[in-house]
Amino acid sequence: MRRVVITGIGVISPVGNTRDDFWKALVGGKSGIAPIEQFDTEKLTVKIGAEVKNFDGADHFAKSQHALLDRFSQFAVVAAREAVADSGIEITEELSLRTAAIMGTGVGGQNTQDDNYRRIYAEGAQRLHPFTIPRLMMNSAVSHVTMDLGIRGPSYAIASACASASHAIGQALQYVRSGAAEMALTGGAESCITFGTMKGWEALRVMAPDACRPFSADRRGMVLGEGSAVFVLETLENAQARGAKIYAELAGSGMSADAGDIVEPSVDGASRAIRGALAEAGLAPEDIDYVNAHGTATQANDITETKALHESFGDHAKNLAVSSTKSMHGHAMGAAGAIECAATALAVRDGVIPPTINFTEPGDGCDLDYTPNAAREMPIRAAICNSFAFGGLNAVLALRKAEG
Amino acid sequence: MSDARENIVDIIASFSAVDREKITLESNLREIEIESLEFVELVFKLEEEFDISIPYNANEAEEFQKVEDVVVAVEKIIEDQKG
Repeated sequence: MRRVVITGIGVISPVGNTRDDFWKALVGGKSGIAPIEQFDTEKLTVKIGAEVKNFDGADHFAKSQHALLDRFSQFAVVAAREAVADSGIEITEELSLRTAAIMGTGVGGQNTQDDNYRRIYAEGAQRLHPFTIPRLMMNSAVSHVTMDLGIRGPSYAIASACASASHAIGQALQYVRSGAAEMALTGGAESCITFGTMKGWEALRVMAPDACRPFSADRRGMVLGEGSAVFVLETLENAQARGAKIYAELAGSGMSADAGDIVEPSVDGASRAIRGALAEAGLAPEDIDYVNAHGTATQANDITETKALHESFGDHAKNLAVSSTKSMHGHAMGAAGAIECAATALAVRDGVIPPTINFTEPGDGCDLDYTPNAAREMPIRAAICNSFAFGGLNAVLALRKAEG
Repeated sequence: MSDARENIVDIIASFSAVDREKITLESNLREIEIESLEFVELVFKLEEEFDISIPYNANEAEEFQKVEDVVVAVEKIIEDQKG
């Protein structure tokens, strides 16, 4: 099996519209959570979200291309362009045929769906815009990535709610590891902060009205986010041969299903995914220095995740630096795993742990080191990035510091 | 029990697999198999039935332990929002 590394990263997030702005904000403990601005929130109980700010598609796309792109696809293409440029790779005709593009998304073109279904059902419109279907379909983002960048290998979208991007990245890892592809563009994209989606989430009663405080005693639930992160994956050999800079090795992925409840997480399912990632990466629990937690700030997740970390790491659990960057960029659903993998890769590269902000005091059953409120400089030999989704679908990625 | 109150208990009971005769104001929700998913469905049904808004966050301390807790809360909200 070949070793796979990350040579390019692109990010559109609630705390920055480039990879570097994103990382700077995370290290600075900056929050992207604020009152929602995209629509009137008067009839909502929860009025906050982590929106991508100052993003105008017209800055990135000519009119004809723009018309085909839902907001989630726009995020994906811009992030993918940044990743490819960052990697310095030249996508030749030959390489394009051997490059996979696999992207996660939870709900696809939600804005397009909302707007157009409202027109037809509520406003009595006679007809819909012809691009309605191509914009809202779940694969729209990844299709446009392949079109914009000329990718011709195995390409598709993956859906598993909050774990979609982690599953996509794990899948892409297998393609490159096994030689089924020479290179992959992978990650996730989501833009689902609409009035209807907020109403749907409110009904589940797990949204915080004030802030996102993972692992804190006074946490009141999650905050919805949006964005995209895309990675260029290559073999270590190819990357070294062309002198590419390497963020980190993507050493393993672990995936499992809880076979439990549609919304409540299970310790066992989470532990199996963690241990699976370590096993594939050839890492022992004691080798892990940092955990980028799923850390949604719900009562259920934070306790279950803490237990799963104890179960998987034993005595070493207390030595882990854990943090939930969702405290800053919110829960970007199908893009979450990718945005968080970006945070993890950058943390590994720089030896800096981004904090869990809004931390007051630890909640019951939350007894680990959650890197509260301020970033910490600390060499990271290896890290894991957790995603535990509704429907009990879990994906964990393991990253190792690049040599040299 | 008044009819109005009986109605609320009937709605709560409809989310339990336990026989209606066995459900009283004192019944513990968990014990009558109303777990977190059934509970959010129940909240939705009560809001729809009475056209009220019930402020409930699943992440906060458990204020609804017994059937009576729900009944009293709903009656108060009906009075505040509709009365």
